[in-house]
Amino acid sequence: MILLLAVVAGLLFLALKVWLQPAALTSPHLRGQWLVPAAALLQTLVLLPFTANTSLGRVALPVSLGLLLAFAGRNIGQRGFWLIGIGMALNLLAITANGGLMPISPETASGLYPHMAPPDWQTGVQLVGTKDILLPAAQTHLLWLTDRFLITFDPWLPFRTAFSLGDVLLALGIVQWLGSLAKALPERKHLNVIINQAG
Amino acid sequence: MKRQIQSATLLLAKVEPKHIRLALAISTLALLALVGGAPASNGCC
Repeated sequence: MILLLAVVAGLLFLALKVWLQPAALTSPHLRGQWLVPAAALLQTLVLLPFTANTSLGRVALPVSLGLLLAFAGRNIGQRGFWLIGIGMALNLLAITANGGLMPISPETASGLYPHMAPPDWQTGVQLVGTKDILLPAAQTHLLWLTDRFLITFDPWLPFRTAFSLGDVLLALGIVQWLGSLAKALPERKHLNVIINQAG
Repeated sequence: MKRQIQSATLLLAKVEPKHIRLALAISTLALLALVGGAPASNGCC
């Protein structure tokens, strides 16, 4: 859910660009859009109670990320898609290196749920309602690509979230792509020169 | 009520394929934001 903030930020960025300079909205043509809802459907297997923590769920997440990478690849010519692709590739690396789910350490999990101390967590199981598996840092491969960054909004909001480097790149790519939808219009004086030259 | 339906119809008549394409592209990226990342949260809010 936190990554939806990137969409909101991108739309604000887009609105600001259109407001500050003479610009028009472009109509983007994304290729292979069906890959995204297909990946979303597949990911329900990761989150549903009766498939979470099963081998089916652990296969579904890497495969769905593979579909999303294919989508990023098909649109790599558009601004922001390099960042989106690299972000998702880093997440896919961390997930496949750790058995099909994104690792989170008991220390970071305790940052999400402060009433639970790190030793209280049962490692090796999926954190309910997430794509994360609880793994001690010592047993985690590619530790720097896992969900190890924590944001809290204390004391204003009780919301807490842990995210990875890949999530940050994905968010930046989305903001960049949304910002690129504003295409600058030529200034009036330049337009006059063009019209005069044409005349 | 009739007047509101008329103005809604007029508004819809102004919708062009490029507007639909733009809305669809932004929705796709929003869905990508939801499923492309792997953040975890405490489920609050």
